[in-house]
Amino acid sequence: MKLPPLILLIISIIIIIAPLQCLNKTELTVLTLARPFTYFYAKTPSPDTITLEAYQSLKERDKLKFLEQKTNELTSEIILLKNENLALVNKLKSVSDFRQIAPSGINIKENYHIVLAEVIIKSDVSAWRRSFLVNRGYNDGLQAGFTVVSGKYLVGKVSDIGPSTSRVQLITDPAFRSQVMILPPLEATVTDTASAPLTGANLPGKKADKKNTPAAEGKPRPNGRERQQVCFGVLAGISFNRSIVKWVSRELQVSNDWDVFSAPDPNAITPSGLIVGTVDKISIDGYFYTLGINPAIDFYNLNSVLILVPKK
Amino acid sequence: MKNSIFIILALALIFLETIFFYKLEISGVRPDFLFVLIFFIAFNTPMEKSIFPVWLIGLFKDVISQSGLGTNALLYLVSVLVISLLKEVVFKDDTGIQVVVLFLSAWFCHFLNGLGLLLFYGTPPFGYIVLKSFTTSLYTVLLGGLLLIAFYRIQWHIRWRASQPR
Repeated sequence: MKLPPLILLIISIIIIIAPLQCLNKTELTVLTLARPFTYFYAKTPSPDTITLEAYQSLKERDKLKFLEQKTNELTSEIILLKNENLALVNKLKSVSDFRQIAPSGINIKENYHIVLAEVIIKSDVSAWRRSFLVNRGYNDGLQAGFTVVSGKYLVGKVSDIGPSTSRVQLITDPAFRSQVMILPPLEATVTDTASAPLTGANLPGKKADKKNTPAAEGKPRPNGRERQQVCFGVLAGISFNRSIVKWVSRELQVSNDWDVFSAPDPNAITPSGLIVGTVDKISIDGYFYTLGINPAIDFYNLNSVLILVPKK
Repeated sequence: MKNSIFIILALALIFLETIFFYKLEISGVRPDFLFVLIFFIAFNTPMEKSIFPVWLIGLFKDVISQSGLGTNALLYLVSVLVISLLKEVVFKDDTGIQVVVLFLSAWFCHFLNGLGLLLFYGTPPFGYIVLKSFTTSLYTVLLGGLLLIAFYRIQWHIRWRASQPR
């Protein structure tokens, strides 16, 4: 089939600038065909049945052969059921883990419905994007923008939605944006850079002096961290299986082992306190820090995730 | 080779990419085997015949991936135009030259892809784009060489079968 390149170029540009909602729905509807991927290796043997009369009518040698065959089948069935049981226990654990964390006092049970979704396609074909496909869609009450978690870890958000499949945009995807808070580790403390100028002793990356901790001064530390020790920023992916946090104020001196959590969301779509990762690189960008984040979770090992549907 | 064979090969590669090739990822960099097929098509077929299958493969990739529909189709189309121009000025039967052209075109395509993301979303930073497009192209050439040989074998086999008297 011969087509002038100009026509295809024009068609590509038209598709790119066409309304996203319509195209995404079509894309995800086509991807419903990928649902069987989850059952790729899960095949349950159909139970073989035989009546008592038929069994008694068998010859002694055939009876023995039949029993041997039946024992083998039952053994394999037990192994399959045990595996299935283990998978279900893991799923249940991830739901109960999530319900137990109750980040920043939010009652998950009162604020969110939890939808358990299985990962159909674990990786994105594009070298630059980070996403996966799950087996839940708008028929299950999902909408674009809903938060996706695994236990107490933030995984990403639902980006495109189809009838029974959705695409989850990971926190490492370049288009991902979310507000996060950065807190020092429980045992560390923070020096206010306004009162302490940036010198060799308090350069980013060096641990602060433990003598200045509120605990050492006899002050109470709610939840192990001081409220004033929190700073906020915008989480964005960079597609290297890493993320960055931009626009972090330099009022506080952030160091390498600080933890990153999801920040309170005014729309109550994302609960605050979900673990994102740890700071492992700090660069100064004018009045702000840009922090390199090592995500706390390996996205390729996820087989199922939880999608939080806010209650109205 | 016929367009249908290219499409079948592309679908097989996309399938393998989703279930297996992502395991080859090192520090977020993985080889782009689909681009090796694009290169093979562009290098061994006249441009007029190669643009449609390449555009269609790009569109398949867009459906499967998070990228906006039409992005990879456009990128692959531009890459084919570049490869077609390059193959006119180089001695295309030399394996070394093919590897160099594969590397340069893969770098160009990935760089353009990263640049598009930077323009649309503001990330990844420019330095990361240069680094990632370079390492991805290098990794693609290192592992994709074997795939290129496999494609040539398939082409040779198809031509041999076609030349046999019925």
